[in-house]
This record gives sequence, structure tokens and C-alpha cells, in this order.
Amino acid sequence: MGLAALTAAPSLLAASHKTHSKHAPNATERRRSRFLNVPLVTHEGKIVHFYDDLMKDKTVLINFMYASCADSCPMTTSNLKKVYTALGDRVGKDVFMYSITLDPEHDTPHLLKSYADLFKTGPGWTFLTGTKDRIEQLRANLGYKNSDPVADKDRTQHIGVVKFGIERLERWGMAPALGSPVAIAEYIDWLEPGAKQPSLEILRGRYEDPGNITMG
Amino acid sequence: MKKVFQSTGLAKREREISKYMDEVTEIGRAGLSRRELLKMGVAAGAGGLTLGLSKSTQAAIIDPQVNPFVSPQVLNPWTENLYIPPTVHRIDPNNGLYPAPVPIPGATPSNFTIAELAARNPSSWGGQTVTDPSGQPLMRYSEARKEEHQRWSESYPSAKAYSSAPVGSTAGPLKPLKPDNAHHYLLLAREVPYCFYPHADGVGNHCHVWTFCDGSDPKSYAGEYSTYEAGVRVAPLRLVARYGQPTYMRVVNMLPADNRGFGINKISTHLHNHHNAPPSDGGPLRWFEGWNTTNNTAQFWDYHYPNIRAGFTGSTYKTSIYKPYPSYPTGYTDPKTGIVDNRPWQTCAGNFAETLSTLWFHDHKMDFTAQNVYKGLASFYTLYSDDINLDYGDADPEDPTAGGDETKGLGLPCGKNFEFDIPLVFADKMFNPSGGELFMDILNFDGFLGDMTTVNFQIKPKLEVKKRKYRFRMLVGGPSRFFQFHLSVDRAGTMVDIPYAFWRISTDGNLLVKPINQTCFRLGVAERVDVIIDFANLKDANGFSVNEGDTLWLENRLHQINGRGPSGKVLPANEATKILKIKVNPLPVGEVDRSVIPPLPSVTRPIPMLAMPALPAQEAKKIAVSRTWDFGSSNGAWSVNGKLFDPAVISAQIKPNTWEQWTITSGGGWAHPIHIHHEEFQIVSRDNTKYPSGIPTEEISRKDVLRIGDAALINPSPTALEGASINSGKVVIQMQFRDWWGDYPMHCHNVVHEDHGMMIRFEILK
Ligand SMILES: [Cu+2]
Repeated sequence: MGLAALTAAPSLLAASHKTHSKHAPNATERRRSRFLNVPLVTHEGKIVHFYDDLMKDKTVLINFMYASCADSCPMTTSNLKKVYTALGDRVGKDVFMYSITLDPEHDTPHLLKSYADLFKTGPGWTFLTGTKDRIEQLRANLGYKNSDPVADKDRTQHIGVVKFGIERLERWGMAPALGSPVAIAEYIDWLEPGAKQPSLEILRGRYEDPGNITMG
Repeated sequence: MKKVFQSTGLAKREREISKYMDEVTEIGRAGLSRRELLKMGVAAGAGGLTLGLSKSTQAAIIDPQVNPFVSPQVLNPWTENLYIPPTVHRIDPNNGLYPAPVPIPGATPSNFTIAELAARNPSSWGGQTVTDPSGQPLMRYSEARKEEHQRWSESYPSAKAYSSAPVGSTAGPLKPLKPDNAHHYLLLAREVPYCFYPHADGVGNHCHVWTFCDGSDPKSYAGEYSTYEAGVRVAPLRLVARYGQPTYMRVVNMLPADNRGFGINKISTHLHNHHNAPPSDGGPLRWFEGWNTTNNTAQFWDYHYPNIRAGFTGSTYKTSIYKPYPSYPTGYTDPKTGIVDNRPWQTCAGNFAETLSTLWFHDHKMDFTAQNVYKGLASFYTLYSDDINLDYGDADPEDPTAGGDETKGLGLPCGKNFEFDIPLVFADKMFNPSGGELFMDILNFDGFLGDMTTVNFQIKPKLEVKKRKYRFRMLVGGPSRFFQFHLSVDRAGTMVDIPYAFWRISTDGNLLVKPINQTCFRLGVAERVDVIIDFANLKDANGFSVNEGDTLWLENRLHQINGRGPSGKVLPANEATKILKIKVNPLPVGEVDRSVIPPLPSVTRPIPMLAMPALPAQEAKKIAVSRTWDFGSSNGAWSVNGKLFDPAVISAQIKPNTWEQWTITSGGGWAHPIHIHHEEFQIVSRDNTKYPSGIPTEEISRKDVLRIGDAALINPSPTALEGASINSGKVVIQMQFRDWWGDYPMHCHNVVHEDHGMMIRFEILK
């Protein structure tokens, strides 16, 4: 049943769900269906498709930012620079970092290039822009969406989280973008098959006073 | 009652769908494929994408309680008998559990293959050969645990025999426990082809779950479970434990790397509500690996549950666990063997007022709890307290002389093989309309709702009951949906309420001080309630009795359309609120219901339920430290005190054997069921006692899950049945920290929130 049929006769939709249809999507279809394959433009001016060119078979870290954001974006970007360093020579080989702008109308590829230069990022870390609609679709697709419309309009609500995953294995996690860079690099190891697990030192933990105590 | 959440007619519904599809089409024009479009629909149903729909349109279209939107329809609803979680069988510790349990991992040999295990003692599996599933190369399993079991010499298995001793009564001796003491279990975490739909629908094993299988059963090793034909289900399970008898549970991770779209084959098994040490708590960071096919290895983890009441150490860690029960006689004669046991009998230590009953174990892997639990890694752990003659049940189901004697202890319904003591886990799922595989939107931060409610992993089942009392242990399994349970009776096609159908005897894992008679109750994810329903004494709202042949409906009437929490509205009884059909049958001739609802004045066995542990104010003790924890949202994810979970950080260091007061707050717009590991708390106040007066009666209890935020409570006014809810944004609790030491988490049990940052760890200092 095609798109046209769905729109023309909504009752068919219910009919189609009356029974289980036999065809189950295979892993390739399922993986492809998870992410939008929208066209984007890199800070180097290259046109890429989000799923086919940036996600498929790769281990990735994704965050949202915008160049004119004066407060936390620069801190986030410089923190991610440390993650970039901590990941070592994996970046650009099997791990790729993507920073997608929330402000595509202002953040042109050219401007993003200057932004990347400012932070002296290297290969394997791509800044991305696109049409406003596609960026918005992609943001929702990746879960950077607040169901409260007022909060959703606030761009600063979408920059605090870095999402990472192994696309081939369909394993996805997230971390605070301002979290410890070494730890973020470690989370990716924790996703990999094999026996990398939190060390005894991490289990024991490091006390950080949240400032929430009164005696008695 | 607002009608907007009801399907008010086909024409309107079709118009709304049409409008919805038009909006979707707009997005389709933007370059989405049909499959992506479908995914949008799925995500919308789950409260993910909103696509700019008005709220009412969204609700009418995607409210799963009004109409399933995505999952295939059920063709034969209410026809298949409810699956009752079977009891896990014990395994011989000498041969069945190989290598043998050790306090410190790494001793030789610390690994095994299934072939080596089987060779040790073929009779363990009834002479049948067991192999690794799926014709894989033989995997070598080694233990992932690095830390020592705490208090090993005190609590395993050299622990002295001790036995049931009546409290406050001179009733005769009950039954000594076996000297070898610890009960051993072997569980396999594995992928199982599964059918959530009635088998009569003919869809076969349309999907896959990851779940715990009983390693004492050779069928659990079968490659594709070829022995499990239509009509047979394998999960969830029930592990039966008792105070004073340690449970040693080995979980072998046989999960494959291929997750079929979500989940990770790294697991950490948390025993929810239990009081034990961090290496056996199954926290977010202590996971172990599934199959690694590059070198054919995988891991297991040994969990040591001493089943000792909280508070057993008293004021110092040096005190022995087991205190002799002072006036208890020796010289019990075993009725089977005639052997006289002259050891001093003991009752299990700890504060009797902290006795637990219904617990459950589930996966807790950091970042993947929602996915892995949704995939099926959840089962029951029912803990009996026959040592103090309280919750007697059938504490040793493999002892043929036992058998759920309902004349002992509180006299709760049980029966042979737990016929009248039934665990029920409620969880909502969504299935891919193509092929029927289990679906989860893992990119959604808000929380995930399914459009099919399952009971014990089964859609729209029926339960045949006898006209007598039953104990139901009800658990909301998540990931994100809250429930409000009601019972109604079918009167010529009309659903008529049965007021006061439930005798609530517990809150979470804790027996209450006295039963509460309720018409309905609300549960957040991971909350539990034990209720007694007396099918011989039910009257509908019109005053007519429920009789043999009547059909009852267990319902969830709480309205919820997104993962953030319930809307606060309560739906009227209707087709979509039904989750379990109950058919009342006569009590067979010769069968007598000896169980009781404690402690009614008329009953002949006035064993009291237990009082609450005293709070500091009641004992003129001091609160050592007060802390505040704000559960909110921050930077598009979920936070505690403004911070997302950092696994390397400890946010509270707590002096052992001290009382603390914690103030839990949350802003509006969402609901969180907050869970604290290891120690239970008591609620001191809600919203500065703004609830009509104090806190709800059922919350005068120890608890391990706390509902906070929107629609946390049912409005107790007479209009409550019309659906009003009360929000609660500030809850003060008091708790103490005892017996074991190390790190434990506190987190939101909307497990999608937990996985997206809403968790901290605290440490009990040694
Ligand atoms: Cu929450």
C-alpha cells in the first residue's frame, strides 16, 4: 500500500492492521528506517545524505549546536574537542563526530568552516547544515525534541546532550555534552562487543558534593 | 467525563485520521519514504514526534486506549488461558552449579562450557543432553564479578540451620530448614522466539524476547526452542525464596549480539526491593557480557541474596547475623525421616517489621534498562516469612510435605503449587505491523508507550478462577505507563463497577499494617501491590452479587498519551480499558477456602500483621543529615539536581546506621516513579501535607518507589471515580542505611528517563 492509498482511504489503514502481515523488515531495512536520509551540507561544502553517508556502518557521536550561541555551545564544542582527542586515531577511521546546527538559516557551510577552524577540529569531525525543514525533521528524528512546545522552541534545550552509538549493532546511548571527555570516550568502548566494563575505580566512584545537604 | 478522549463515531474518527494523514503527507513530500512515514506514525503513537498535531487530534488518533494504531489487531481476544509464571527449580549446588560458588571470583576453575556442565551430572537434567543453544560453537562462560560477596562466612552456606518460630504466640514448631541451607538456581538469559498474541490467531512465534529461562530445565537450552510448540510460553518466571535461607542465583548471559533493532547483550540483573550488597544488587554499572562470537566467550554473574531482614546488624557491623530465637525449643522430629534435630532453632534476624513479600528482578544495564526490560528481562521473586509464621505460603515448593497450607501464619491465599497466589506483570508493548516483531522507539527521550497491554507477556488473556479468595501480586513492568486498576462485571454486555473489590495487603514489597479495602488503586512503573480478591463475596455497584458463570474485567482506566506521565483523567469502563478477563467458576465440591483476609475480627486465627518500623521522632532519635533531590529536565534530557547521570560520580556519602531525611521535588508537566535501591523509606509528608489530610492510607507503609509529579495520586473525594487526580511536587521521606556497604543508585523508574540521565549513585560508607 502506497502513500497515496493511505491518504485517500484512511480506513484501509485499520484494515491493514487486522492481521499480521508476513514480511518482517530485515536488519538492513530496519536500520535504514530508523534515521532520516535527509540531504545535508558539510562545513566543507559537500552535499551528503544523513543515513547513507554519515551513519551507515559507523560508530558516531552526534550533537546539536549553533554558531551564534554564546554561552554553552563554545564550552560544549571545546569539551567535544577533548573527546575527539581522547578517541585518538579512531576518529575518522571507524568513529565519526557530527555537530549539526540548530540555526541553518545563519550557519552556512562557510560560517561552520570558520567555526571548525576556530576550534581547530580535525578530520572525522564534521559540522553540518541544511534546509530549515530538514534540520527540524532530523532533530525530531534523533529525539532532540521537547514535547512542551515552548521549551522546544528554546534552542539551548537541545545542546546539552551528545548521542552516540554503533549503527551497525543498533546500540545507542547518550551523555551530557559537558561530561568528562575521557568518560564519554569510554562509554563508546562500553557499547562495543567484548568485555570492556567499568573499572573498580569507577564502581567505587568519586564523591562530588551536589550542595544539597543540611545537617540534622 | 470529557468525551474528547473517546472515539465518538466513525465519521469523526475518519476525518481526524484523514487530517492526520494529510499532515503526515506533508512530511512525506519532504522526502520521506513510506517506511519512514510509518515510523513517524509509530513514533507519534509513542509520544515521540508530534508532527504539529493539535492535542485533541493526537489523542483521538493515537491514544492506544482508544484504538490500537500500529500493532496488529488481536483476532481471538479473551480466549487463551493466562500464563502463570512457573516456579524456578533448584539446582544441585555440587554438580548443577559448576564451578561452585566462591566469595571471591577468579578461583580455579572460574569458567565452564555447557558441555562441561552437562558432563558433571547428566541426571541433573533428567538424563537429557544439554548444549549451547542455536548450534553455536561452544561458548566458554566466565564470571564477570570482580568484587567479593560481603559477609560470606556469616550468610552462606555454612549458616546454621534455623527455623520457623512463631511471633507472639506459642504455636507449635513448624519446620526446620535443611542444613545445607542455601538454595541454588541457574538462570539463562537468552533470546526466545515468542508469541504475545493468542495462539489461535495463528501468527506463530511472531517476535523475539530476551528473557530468563530456568537452567534446570533441558528445554531451556534448545536451540530455537523447538520443543516449545504453540500454546506454550516460557516467561516470565517466579523464584520462590524464604527468610533465613540464602538464595544463590547464577545468571548465564546467552544473549546474541544481534539485537533485532534494540537492546544490548550486556546485562545486570537487579533484584528490586531486596536488601543486599552491591555486588549482588545488579546496579547500572555491574553488567556482564553475552555471546562474543569472535572468541566464543561470554560471562555469568553469581548473585548472593542472603534473605535477611534489614536491620540485622543492629548498631554495628560486627554483630552476627543470626541471633538465636530465645525461647525456641530444640528436638524437632522430621515427619519424613523421623530424624530428631537437636540444633538450637533460630529465626532469621533483622527487624521483623521490615519483612518483604513481592519483589521482582529485571535488567538494569546503564543506558539500556528500558530496552532490555521491555525486551523481556523481568521475573518475580516472592519472599516468604514462614520463619516468623507470618506470610507462610508455600515457601519450599519442592518439599512434598509442604504445600501452601492456608491455615498457617496470616492465612493468606496460596494453595498447592501457588494455585491461589498469582503474580501478574502488566506491561505495554508495540508490535511492527510488518512481521509482528517487538518494536521500540529508542530515540524518544520522553518515555515509550505501547498500544497493547500485556499480562504476564500475553495480550488479552482470560483467567478461570474458583469462587474463593485469591492473592494477586500485581506489578507494573514499564517502561513508562502508569496504571489505575478497577474491577467490573459484565451485565448483559454492560460493564458494571465492582466497588471495594480489592483487599490491599501490601504496598510495593511490604505487607501493610492492616488490609485496606479499595475500589481502585494507581501504580507507577515498578510499584507492586498484593491484593486479595474474594470471588465469593463481590457485589456490583447495583448491589447484585457476583456468581458462578459471571465474567469480570480487570481494567486499567488511567489515561496516558505520552511517556511523560498520565494525563490525570480516568476513562470510563470500555472495551479499551479491559486488560484481563476473569471467569468465575464454582468452588469444586470438597474444596474449602481456609484462607483469610487478615485481620478481620471474625477470623479464628488472629495473627497480626506487622507494625511499621519506628521513625526517629517516635524513638527520640536524630536525623543525621537532610538532603534535597530535584527530579527535573535539563538540556533536553532528564536530570537530578540539574545534572545528568555521571557513572563515575557518587552524589551522597552516607554514614552507616544513621537516619536521613530526603526531600524529593519535581516540577510540573511530567510524572516520575522514583526508586531507591537497598533501603526502604517512609513518606513523612507530601506537599507540606496538602493532600486532603496527610498522605494516602496506602502510603503509610515502607516503600521503595515514590510517585511524584503530575497525577501522582488519586483524588480521594467522591468524584475520584470520575477521574480527578492530584499532582504532588514535594515529598519528604525518612530512611536509614544499614547492614551492607557500597554504592547504590536512586533513579526514575520510567526507565526511559533513567536511561536518559535521571539517576544518581549514593554510597553507604563502611
Ligand atoms: Cu521520570
